[in-house]
Amino acid sequence: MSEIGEGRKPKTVKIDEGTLIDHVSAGKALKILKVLKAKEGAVILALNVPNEEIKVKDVVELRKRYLKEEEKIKVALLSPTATISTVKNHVAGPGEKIEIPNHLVDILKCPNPKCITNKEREPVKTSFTVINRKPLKIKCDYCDKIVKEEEIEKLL
Amino acid sequence: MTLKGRDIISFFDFSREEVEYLFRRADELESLRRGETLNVANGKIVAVIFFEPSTRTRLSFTMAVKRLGGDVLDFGEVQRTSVAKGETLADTIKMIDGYKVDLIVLRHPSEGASKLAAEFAEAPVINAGDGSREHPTQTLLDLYTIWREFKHIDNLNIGIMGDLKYGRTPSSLSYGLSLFSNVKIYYIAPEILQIREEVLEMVERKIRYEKIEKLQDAINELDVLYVTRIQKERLPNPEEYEKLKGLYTVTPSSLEGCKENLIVMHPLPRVTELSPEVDSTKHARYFQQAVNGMVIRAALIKEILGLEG
Repeated sequence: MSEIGEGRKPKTVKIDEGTLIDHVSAGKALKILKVLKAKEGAVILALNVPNEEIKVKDVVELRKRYLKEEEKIKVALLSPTATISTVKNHVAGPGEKIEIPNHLVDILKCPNPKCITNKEREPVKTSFTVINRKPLKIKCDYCDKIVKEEEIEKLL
Repeated sequence: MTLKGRDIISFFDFSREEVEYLFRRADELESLRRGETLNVANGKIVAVIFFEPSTRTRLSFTMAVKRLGGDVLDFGEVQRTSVAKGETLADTIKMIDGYKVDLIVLRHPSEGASKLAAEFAEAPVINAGDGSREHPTQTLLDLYTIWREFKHIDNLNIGIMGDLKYGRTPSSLSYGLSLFSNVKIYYIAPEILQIREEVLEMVERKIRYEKIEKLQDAINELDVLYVTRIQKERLPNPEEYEKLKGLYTVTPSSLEGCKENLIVMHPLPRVTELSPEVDSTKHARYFQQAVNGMVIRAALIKEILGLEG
């Protein structure tokens, strides 16, 4: 089976420059905007678009916005099927599928209120290790709290 | 084998070989039990930093250092220190570490505090309890007490009784026992205080276990009975507590039918769950357990500091 979006012709999009996030799991587009703190007026959305690979998808276009590595990981955590490409002159480059790394540093907060990473002013970045990929399960490197896939969304 | 310079953050940092090595080294410190002081740690300073009260653990570490001939820098009561003014743990640790202490022993209410401390300190750090998560030297002393008695831990039947759900000891002891072979644990508790599923998930492929409600259903099988306290505040109402308190109290008569060489352990302090009449039976080991705590901590400190003699 081929990867999602693989071997596609370059895609024409509405924004002139910026980032295209395609193949977003249906219903996750608004959450992605929130997590990326995308500004109003710089965003084009398509929701519940029929798609042959994932049946139905959301599409997010971000005008003049380019994602940092940790932002790409956040997108992948919200929607593992998402592909990310850079847009120039209304043409989207090849879609990149983001692999979730084994260690997630400073990406999401720990849900355990007693965890040292939640202590105010303590100079510590959150750190999780992936312990299972399907379904995704991660473990806090400080307090050992295990976080399941469905809980990750509210911790980003 | 060397533990020199190692941070002890989690019991999972130890292998079975290291644990048994430490037991043998602790057995060599027999003279500490007679009140002798060794002079192997002369000039060494261990910082004891307790951010929450725990008299026993603090005294045990302090005695271990002093019996080795070393000195203790005690951080004192938290409310009197800079922490009360809002200092971060990282700053406290950097400040103490700057004095070039040889070892830091830390107890802190936040989970993962020792890992953070170890990242900021050059000196090795021993976790003396971080929140309800880990207390690796408690597990070490519990296992050492069992090992010292039977000269092995494999193939033993261990009953753990009391508040298995909220207590730290039952889960840590389960993890510790899972290092050994063919151990069977009887979890003895009312349904509402039974051991958590996540603990069982961690140990189920390594040990055999059975959840039971009454001590009588397993007393003849047990080599070790580990009693823990049921805390009033964990239960939905006071009547429930009064009822359970009676059911989960160990007396000489509840030990009837036990194996000849059964040992009864308890992390102390006890309240009503273990009657003082058990003290004079041949099964009681909880006061020795406390002494073993000092000795195994001394052995651990000696190894971490790389002390000879």
